[in-house]
Amino acid sequence: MTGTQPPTPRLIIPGWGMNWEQYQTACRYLGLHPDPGLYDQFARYLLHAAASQPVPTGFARWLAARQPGKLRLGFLDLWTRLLMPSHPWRFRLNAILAVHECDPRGCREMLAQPTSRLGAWLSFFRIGSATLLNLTLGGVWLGGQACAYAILGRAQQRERAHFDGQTVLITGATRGLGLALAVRLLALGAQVVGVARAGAGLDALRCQIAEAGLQQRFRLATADISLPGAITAALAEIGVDAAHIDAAILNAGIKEEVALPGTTRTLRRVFEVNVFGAMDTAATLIPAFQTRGSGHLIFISSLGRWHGMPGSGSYNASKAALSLLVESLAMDLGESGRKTVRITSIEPGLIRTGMIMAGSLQDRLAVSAEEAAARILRCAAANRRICRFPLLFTLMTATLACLPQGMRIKLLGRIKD
Amino acid sequence: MKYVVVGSGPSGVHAALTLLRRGLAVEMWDTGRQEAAFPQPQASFHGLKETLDDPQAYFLGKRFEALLPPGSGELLRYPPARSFLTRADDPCWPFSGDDFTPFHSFTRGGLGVGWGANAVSFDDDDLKDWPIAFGDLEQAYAEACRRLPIAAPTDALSRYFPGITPNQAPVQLSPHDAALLTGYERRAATIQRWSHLQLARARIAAVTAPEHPSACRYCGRCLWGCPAGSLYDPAKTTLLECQQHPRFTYLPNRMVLSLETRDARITGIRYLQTETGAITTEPCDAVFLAAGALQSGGIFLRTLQHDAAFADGHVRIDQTASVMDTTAVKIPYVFLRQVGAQQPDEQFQYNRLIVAHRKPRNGGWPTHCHGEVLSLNTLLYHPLIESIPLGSRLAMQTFARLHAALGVVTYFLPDRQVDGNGLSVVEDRDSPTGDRLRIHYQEAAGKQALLRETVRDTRRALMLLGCLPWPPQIAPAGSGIHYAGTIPMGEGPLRSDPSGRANAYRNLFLCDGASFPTLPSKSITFNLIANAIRVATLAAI
Repeated sequence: MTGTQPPTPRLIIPGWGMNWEQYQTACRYLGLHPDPGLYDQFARYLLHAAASQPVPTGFARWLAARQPGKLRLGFLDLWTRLLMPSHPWRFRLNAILAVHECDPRGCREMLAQPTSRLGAWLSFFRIGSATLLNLTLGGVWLGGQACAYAILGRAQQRERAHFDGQTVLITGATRGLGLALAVRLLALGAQVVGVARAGAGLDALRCQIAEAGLQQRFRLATADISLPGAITAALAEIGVDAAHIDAAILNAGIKEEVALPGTTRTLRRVFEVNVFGAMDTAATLIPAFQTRGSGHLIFISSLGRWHGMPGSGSYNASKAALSLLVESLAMDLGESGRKTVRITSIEPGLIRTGMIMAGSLQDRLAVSAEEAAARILRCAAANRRICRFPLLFTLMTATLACLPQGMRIKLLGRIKD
Repeated sequence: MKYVVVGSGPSGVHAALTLLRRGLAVEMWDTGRQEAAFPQPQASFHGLKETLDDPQAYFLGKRFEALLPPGSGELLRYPPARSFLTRADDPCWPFSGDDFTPFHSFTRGGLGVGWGANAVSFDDDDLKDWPIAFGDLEQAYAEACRRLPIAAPTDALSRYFPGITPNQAPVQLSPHDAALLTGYERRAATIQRWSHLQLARARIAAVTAPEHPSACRYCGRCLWGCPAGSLYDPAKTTLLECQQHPRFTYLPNRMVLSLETRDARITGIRYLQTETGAITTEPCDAVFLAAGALQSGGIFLRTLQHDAAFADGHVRIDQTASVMDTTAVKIPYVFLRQVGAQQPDEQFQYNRLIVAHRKPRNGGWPTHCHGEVLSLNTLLYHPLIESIPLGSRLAMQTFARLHAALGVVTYFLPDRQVDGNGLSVVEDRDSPTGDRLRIHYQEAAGKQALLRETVRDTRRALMLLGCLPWPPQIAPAGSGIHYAGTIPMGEGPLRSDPSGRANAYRNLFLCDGASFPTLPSKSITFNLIANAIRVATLAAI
């Protein structure tokens, strides 16, 4: 398979996997030409490695989560080779070389060298200088990372301690934010019960889970949560007792771009999934949480709930309804109920998922699904009641929400044009 | 009369062919799994990367078995495309314990299917502790040379391989090999004086005559399975020849466990039907064990333990008399003249050169230590790159400049019997046979001194040749693949007589390395073939 089209998205285990963009950066660093077909093989291998190798912990985990950049990769490459020979970065770089050497172009690129023997000998000086530079600058960088880990690594440790061994239910788990949450939870040592509608996405994910040997830790239930009682039937079908679920992330949501007034059928469908589906799932789990005396509901709302938006009226309204219902739920549960059933409301800004067009203004303001998943789980681990991000988008939303309605309509109404 | 040969490896097929030529009817019992066909026979190693639908699956394995993880310390693993090796997760894996991990095959042709094809013969010095001399094997070597293609030169080393009669031109050398050999020839006297080392072209069991339809095409796929049929493979040559004989019967899916006995004679064979899992017994008139020294030793030990004649405990039958294996030592080097050179894509993949480290030894070791010089060509490179301590990018650039200059000298150091070494049978309910073989192995005294001396002299010779030697790598016990000596020639019921017949049973013949009383350094396979021919010729039946 050749070409430069991005490949089919794959299950990416944090700390092990690399997405297409990260793989491209790593290929540029190694002097190899990225290829979607080879990326697919590479991602498949990393799934195997993640399933068979110990989960990195502490500083190794911190380094594994660093985003690749050409200079940073040079440091990571050399220092992990010298100090951590089984670090996930070693697996990633070694696997890129392995899959590329089985490709004719990759093999040629790997063995490229100066045409003259003198040139070959002279190039050793360049390699030696680069090694010395990476050793010194990389040593300083590594020291900085150790300091950053000492300061910021506590949140990472808390997140792991919170979710390790927990069973977490996620609705809408086959793509976007739901999938990113699921794989991050897997990397944190949690058991995941994913719920999603039947379809090609669910089938593809099932295959990847089986391929990675994760069937025991990532179970998938098929349900259309907009249908009352569907969640109960789906859990029963895969043999999961609601009493064994420690936390639920009510993430499933749809967005249909239709200008109002439009048809109420669209409005109804969006509310059925985004509002009724989430509340129905919560209602299924709360009795089990109360019986056990603990449980955590994490609702995924949106910063869009603070204002209207042309073309997204149904979505923003549904999130507003959800946020208010969640607030009311917390009130209805009362003081003792809130101690038993913890509730976190997440209001993210834009997340780079299938709902956003690549290259648009929205895309530039958006955060990646992996980054959003990390923020959400850190907030949940810290037991925060509400979590809004990213900061710039939150400030923009707060400003918009404080504007007189007329000005807001005038300003946001221009987006339609 | 029913004569059964157990095993279809190099020893088994040549014993069977010899018996057939004696006019006897022969049954060959074998586990007999079949190796898959090699894809795209016309393509070269690098050509496969262009033409295969999924080259990653072919080279790395469907579950990436050959993608060697960083930190594993391994530089090479048998390609997943070659399924002849049995792994420890195979339900029929016959061994227990992990301090001696052998290679094992249930494929037609046995481990001979993966033979590196180095054909060298023992001489009187190698056989000095045997009850037989080279003269006893001479006719068998001559017959083996008629049966196998031998691509070899006639040179200064030929006198140390008296059983080898070349019938093909030697395999072509790579530029690296040619430069190394030229350098050696120019300074041979000095190198021999300072290091006792001699360098020569390899003796390879391969067809090189261009007019032959199986002639080597230098496609670089030896390790991945020779698609031209040029490298000798017992399953694709001698076994087929046996199968064309009307008095030959090949019975696969039979894993022999032990033999039935009465009055010091074999009367039947107890075996596992691998397809059904049933354990059955059938009568026979004579047995030729050729299942490999380890399996043959296990069959023999179980037979003794089931034999009422040994039930009174007058003979200790909890363990075989011995077990031996060569110690594999690798000395990597960089040939400085070849740094930055271009490497031809298509070459013979196995070694084209050999070394002989010859000097009188203390402690009775043979004079000749045999080594194979392999310059790097078509292999998977990622483990080599990962082994360079520079990080992947700089290591890859370094490797690109060095790869035509890299080579390795591999020695197979000799072995001999050590008190306490041998096989025992341990109960294992997870095994379909109800037991497994445990290998007890301690290195012979003086082996380390021999190793140090050989390595020191080889490093010295490499430096004289303009190479930069690297520290040696010593393979773990069991990696030598030259297993022998489980029923060695000698006295007592646990041993065999000089003709290869078991002392305990008059109609049990040992055709494989089980009867070797010592294990010389020289590659064993060609000598196994000659010995099997000898045993089958002498067998009094």
